[in-house]
Amino acid sequence: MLRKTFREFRRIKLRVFASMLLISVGCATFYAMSAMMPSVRGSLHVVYDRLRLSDYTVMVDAAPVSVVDDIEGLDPVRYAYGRAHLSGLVVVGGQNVTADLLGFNATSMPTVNNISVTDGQYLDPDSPDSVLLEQRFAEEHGIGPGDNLTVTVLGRRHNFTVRGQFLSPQYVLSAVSPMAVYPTAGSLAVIVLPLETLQQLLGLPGHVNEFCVVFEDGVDREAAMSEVDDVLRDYGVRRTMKREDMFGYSFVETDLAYGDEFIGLLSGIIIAVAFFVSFSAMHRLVRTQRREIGVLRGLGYSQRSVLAGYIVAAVVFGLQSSIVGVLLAIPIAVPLSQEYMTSVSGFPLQEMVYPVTPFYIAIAIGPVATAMAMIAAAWSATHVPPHHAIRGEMVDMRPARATLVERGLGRVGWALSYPSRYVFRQTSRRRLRSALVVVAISVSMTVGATGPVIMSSVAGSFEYALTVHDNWDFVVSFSHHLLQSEVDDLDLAHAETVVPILRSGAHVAATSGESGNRSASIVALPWENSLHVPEITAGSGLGERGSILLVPRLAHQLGVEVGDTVTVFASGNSTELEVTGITSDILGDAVMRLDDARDLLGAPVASGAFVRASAGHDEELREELYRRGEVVMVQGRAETISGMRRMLEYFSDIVQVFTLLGILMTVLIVGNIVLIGSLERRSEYALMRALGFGGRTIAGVVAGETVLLTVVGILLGIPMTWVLNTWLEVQPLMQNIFPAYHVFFDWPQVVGTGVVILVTALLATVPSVRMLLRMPVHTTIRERQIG
Amino acid sequence: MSGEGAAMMIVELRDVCKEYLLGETTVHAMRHLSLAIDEGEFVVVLGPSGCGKTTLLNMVSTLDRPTSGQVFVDGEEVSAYTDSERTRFRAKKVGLVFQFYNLFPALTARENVEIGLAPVIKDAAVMRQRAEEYLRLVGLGDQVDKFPAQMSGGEQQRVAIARALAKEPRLLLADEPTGNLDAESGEMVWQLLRELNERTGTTVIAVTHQTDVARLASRIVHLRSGQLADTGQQGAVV
Repeated sequence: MLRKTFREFRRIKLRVFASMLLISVGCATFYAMSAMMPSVRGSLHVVYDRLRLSDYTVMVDAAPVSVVDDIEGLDPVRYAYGRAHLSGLVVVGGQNVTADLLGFNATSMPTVNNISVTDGQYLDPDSPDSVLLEQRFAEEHGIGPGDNLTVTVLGRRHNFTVRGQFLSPQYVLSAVSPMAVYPTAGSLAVIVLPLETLQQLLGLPGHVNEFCVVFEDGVDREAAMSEVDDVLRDYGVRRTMKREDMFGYSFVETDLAYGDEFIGLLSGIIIAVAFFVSFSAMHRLVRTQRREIGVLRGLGYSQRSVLAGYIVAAVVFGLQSSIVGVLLAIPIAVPLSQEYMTSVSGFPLQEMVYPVTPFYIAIAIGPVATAMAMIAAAWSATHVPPHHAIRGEMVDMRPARATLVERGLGRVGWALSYPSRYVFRQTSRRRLRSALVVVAISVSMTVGATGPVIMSSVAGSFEYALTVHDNWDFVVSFSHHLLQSEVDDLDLAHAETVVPILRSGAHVAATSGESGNRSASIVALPWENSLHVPEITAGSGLGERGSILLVPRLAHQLGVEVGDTVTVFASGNSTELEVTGITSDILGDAVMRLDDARDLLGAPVASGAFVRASAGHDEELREELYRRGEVVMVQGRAETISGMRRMLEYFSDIVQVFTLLGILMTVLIVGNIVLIGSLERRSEYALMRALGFGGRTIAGVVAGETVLLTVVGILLGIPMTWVLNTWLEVQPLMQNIFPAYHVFFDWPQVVGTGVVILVTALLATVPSVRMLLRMPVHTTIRERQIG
Repeated sequence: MSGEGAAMMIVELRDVCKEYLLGETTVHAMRHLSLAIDEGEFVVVLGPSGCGKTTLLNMVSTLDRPTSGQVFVDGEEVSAYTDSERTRFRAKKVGLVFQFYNLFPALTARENVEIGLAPVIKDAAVMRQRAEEYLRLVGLGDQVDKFPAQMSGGEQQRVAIARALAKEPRLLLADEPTGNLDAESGEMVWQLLRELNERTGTTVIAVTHQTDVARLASRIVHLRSGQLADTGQQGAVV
């Protein structure tokens, strides 16, 4: 039995080879991507370990360099490094761009948050004006070693010469100032200067303002951080940050986590596609063997043994395909991982990891898909009564009747043409198959349309937020905390309104204390202001003093809800606040009243401001702001929107992948099912030809059936897309990334996706139509079928 | 070759050969066959399996092309037709009946007849009237709304005959029309074909194994190994 089936497979070797190839490619893609994620994650951690990415970073007002020895003397601390850190502006192409200036000891590399010099040389103590520039910013703007750089620090311009380029584990993604509304590539310059040079610019020789710490393995991190805080308490702690809260680190980790989820989805799609392709080949094989199956049944073979013979043969081919796929994955995974590692971090790949569980899944994909396909293909053929099967007949006694459409049209005196009537009757009789196509098309539609809907929703949500909740023209960041009196003294001639804000790092803990504390970026502002009102997604806004709003992620991490109490720790002080609402504010993790924040920090200070220009004076105000030494970053509405667009471009690649997947699914599913339907009914099509229907009519019938099912699938896919996106709207993933994600259904895009799917489905019928038009009518018409 | 006597020749095969490959073997299904059939004749083609009976029908109906030679119907060389011309020819001039009825399972008896008319008649009312008329003619006037699965084999074949005749073709070609029927139903079908031939004057060419059908034929054509073994009036070859 098995030998016979293998020989039959050999007879349709081209089709079997195509199926095996597709399964192999699917398995190779799956396992290569499965290897890519841990390889990149592992490589990043090698980089983090080698360059000693800090576990904890504390920014203070100023402290003597020697304090680093006190920190390094703590038991849980393995390494500590003190450096100067200052925000500034760098002039690139006539525009001011935000810069992070880091002062390192010029005689030796840092012991924590070290860098990798990729071009040129490290700092030279004898060249105080030589600096290093972060590689990707340098590449974005075409700056190399030997070029000059003009940097504005504390309102004064300084000229430097680029000595080299570097990559830093702290800046695995090109980020921008924390005040920026949206990060855009190349909008943050990270510049490393000799420590003495930066100390002079700060006016604090012998001092540093940032300490980076790496802890010993296995220590209690919370206790260790407290010990470091205690050492630095007297130097005015301004901000603390755990490794997991670093922008680049957390962004990449999140990106890799999404990648893991995508691989799960990918494996499902690969199995589905492999199933459909194998089903087509196996259905054809089984169809040609109906008589032989009847003979086997007549010889005494049971249905189960005949079916088992086919399944075993299919599993063998599926297994071979999987093994070939996994072997192919190994050479694919290496360049794939290298490319992803470089794009995500700039660093080269450090190690390859071949995970075990995905290996077994990849090996199982082929046999599972082919076994399922064979069961679906051979079930009905092995269950035909032997006396029918021996004569090559398929029993299909399902009664036919006029469809609802025909009856409805008949009532108004209309009658469908015979080709159309045939289409409706066939789709009605083959309900299971029709339903399968409709469901598959609706899933393809949902997969294909969800991407554009997410894109339009992101853009729509952003515009909604800017229109309804934001009334500012510029958001500015000060070089250091300004007293309220200093903010008042800014006296901006072209500003209509200035709303001071205070943005500070802090730790937040549920007062119940069950979830530990989390680093958070706190945004404080006068609640009753006219320029920025955070959007509330649950609960209410800030009430009287003593209230706080949290973003969903932080609320989830802390395990708190509206009405609970949290404790906020900053600058050695703490305060208890009631969570009155959940917000989706884009500037921070928590929002509180400016008065409460100032009380907590012990000073009436501001770190930035929202500014609205007098009517028609936007540009004058921008220039005025740039002239102020206290202002290091100015982001206007236009830059914010362009930043969003650039970010959307980044996401559009992912969206296109999903749209392509939708289209690919359509091609494979429609192509295979139409081909199978055409094969099954080809004697009927031959009869049509014999009765005098032309090739166009035959093509029209096949296309008509496809259009009918595809349109129904698309129409079903639209509400499915709506439901999926409405579900996404309330998921923490969407709530955390964007300002209050709202679904904006972009109808032209959705309809466009439907049209693309319909056209693709029609194109997928071409092989079937060609096959039907080329079949020999005189022999095909005599193939038997009961029905 | 031209017809003899007053009857007008409707079908003519001139030196027709048909070869095809079966695996690695070349099969000569028809070898230099020449044959003329007059309008209104009821021709029964007899012969053992593989003698070329069905091939003969395929050539005349234009379902297949000869490897060499010419086939004429109504004075036109149908073997030289393009695909679209052959389609139009079948739609207008040929009615086909097959051993396994070849009805559309999704259509009722009336619809199965109408679909045969659809390529030539566009008026739905005319089509309906004609279909019901011919179903009455074959004795199925009370079963027009039944689906094939609800009918016996004999009834299904009568629907197929009604479909073939309803377009009022110049030629009715029947390939083993009773091969799948019991003796009683088979006899009914042969009688029906003969009656219709006499009543409508439609030329009938029927292929069968059943030599006793010869008594109904106006002419019998006997094939052997793709060649004409004999041809003559009723009773000439039994």
